[in-house]
Amino acid sequence: MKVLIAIDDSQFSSQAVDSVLEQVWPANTEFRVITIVEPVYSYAYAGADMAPIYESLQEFEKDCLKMIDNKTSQLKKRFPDSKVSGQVVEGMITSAIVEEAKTWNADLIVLGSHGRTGLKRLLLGSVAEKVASLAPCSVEIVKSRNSRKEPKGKNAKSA
Amino acid sequence: MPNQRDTQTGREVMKVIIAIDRSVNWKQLIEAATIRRWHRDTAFKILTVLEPLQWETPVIGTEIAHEVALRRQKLASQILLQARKIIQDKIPECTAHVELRQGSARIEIVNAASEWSADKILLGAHGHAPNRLFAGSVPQAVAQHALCSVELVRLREPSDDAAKESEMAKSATVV
Repeated sequence: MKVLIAIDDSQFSSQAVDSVLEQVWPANTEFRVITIVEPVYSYAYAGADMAPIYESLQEFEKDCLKMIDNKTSQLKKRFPDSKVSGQVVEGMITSAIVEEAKTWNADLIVLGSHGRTGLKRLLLGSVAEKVASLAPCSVEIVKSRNSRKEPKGKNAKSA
Repeated sequence: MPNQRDTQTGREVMKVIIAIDRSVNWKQLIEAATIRRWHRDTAFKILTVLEPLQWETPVIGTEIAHEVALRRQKLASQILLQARKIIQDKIPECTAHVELRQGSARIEIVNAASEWSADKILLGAHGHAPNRLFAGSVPQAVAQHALCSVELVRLREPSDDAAKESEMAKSATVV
């Protein structure tokens, strides 16, 4: 089984990784952790100093690599017999995740219900929704345990 | 209310809802669950929802309508029991019970998860367009509104069945 975990630096992504760590997986399951860096569309104009932007982007990519290393280390520790890889992918978030799932032949994409741009008041972020719409494989949308309500009274009919 | 804890590990028992419908696809979803691995004592609720038929109105409340409704309910119950047997046979260390609800599938699945404090909902998703998980409105609504994690299991197209037969033969292993 091949499990693709798409993360960013949000708490929701950490919960998605935690969810993978908590579960048990079939033997020979492979894990791949990716984070997406969107391209910077710069508009050149006279006198523009792009150096700070590129410096900032390089710093961001370094942070992304650290984050990937951190998460892959957690997975390797928890699943020592599994193959674990990680990569920073450049592209538009949704299409990059879906394309990675296709090229890597993922069986399952795991992602948080929201990314760093997500609004907490919404129950499903746009990235999660779009990935679920376009994915070639199963998709697990991980939601925070804290978001769960107390159980309501039972009024269901059991068979 | 916190979930019960595994008597051996002390870990909270994982609660998983498998929401099936009464189409031929329900077996695919159950099989997808059985080829996965689950913690010992994972509790499964196999759920189906009977949505009201449009003609089930007081005006047409004839004996025939009543009989058809009973048949639908009986068929749904039979499918649930078959599904539970497959789960119990292939994942004997886990528990499984069934629940039949009436109403809107999208609402009842979300409510069932909330009332039972489910950790995850497994839901089949496919569409008429290729590679579209969200083509059905029920998966989309459940993914949007459920408070727990939702796994949208991509159902195979009929032509994929042969290629997946070997996977189906595997049984789940419990840790």
